[in-house]
Amino acid sequence: MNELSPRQVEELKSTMPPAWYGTRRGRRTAAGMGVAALALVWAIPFTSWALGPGSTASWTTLGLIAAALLIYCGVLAVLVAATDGAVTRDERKLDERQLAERRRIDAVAHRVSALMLGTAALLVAAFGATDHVLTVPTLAAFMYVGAAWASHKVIPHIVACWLLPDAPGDE
Amino acid sequence: MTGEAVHNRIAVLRAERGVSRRQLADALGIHYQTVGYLERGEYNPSLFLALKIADFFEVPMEVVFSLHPFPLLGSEGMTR
Repeated sequence: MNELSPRQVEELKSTMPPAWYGTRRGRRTAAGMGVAALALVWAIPFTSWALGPGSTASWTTLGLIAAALLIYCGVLAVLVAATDGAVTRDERKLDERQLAERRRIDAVAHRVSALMLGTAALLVAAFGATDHVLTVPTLAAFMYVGAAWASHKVIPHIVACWLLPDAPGDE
Repeated sequence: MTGEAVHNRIAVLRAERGVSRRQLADALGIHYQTVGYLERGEYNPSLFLALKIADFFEVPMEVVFSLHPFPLLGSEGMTR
């Protein structure tokens, strides 16, 4: 993600009420929306599997991706505002507290991702338990891997929205 | 980490010298919110940052940081 300038961060902040990014309740609501976006992404392989192959599956997939992206953009905007742009910044440009916070968030996100991928693997195993050969539409298989990739990228942001403490005021 | 609390006088020294959080943050090369977290005792600095803070205020480390709460101003006079 490209790093935002302080002016861009201020402009972004001006587009939303301060309660959205400045309060724990606002940030946790954003985290809940992030979970909803991720749930939509994980629904795609299953809908593709059930509806595909065919144009219905393709259009449903596109619709779900668009909805998830739209929600996720809102979540990311809240997170950028809450961290004063630190979430988009390269590690080398963070101070020691911001770096420690990012590492704590990454550690929690790593555990959440491992749990989620383990659950997804168990689900696939359960679906294919009766047959030795599992026939899956290509789109569904691709979206399954895509959902895993999206989780890897998005979960740290959801965890950050959930865990971030209230920032101290200017003075 | 309440068991590892490090008390500091950054807010007092900053007010005494008339330095804003942003000015102190710029001088130390950290984010201004980090100064706030330090003052609220929600973040313990590294040894390097603690030394830089003491150096900025031109006082020994123990004037800024302590493992025990600092006495309130005037509290010694009250006990006499």
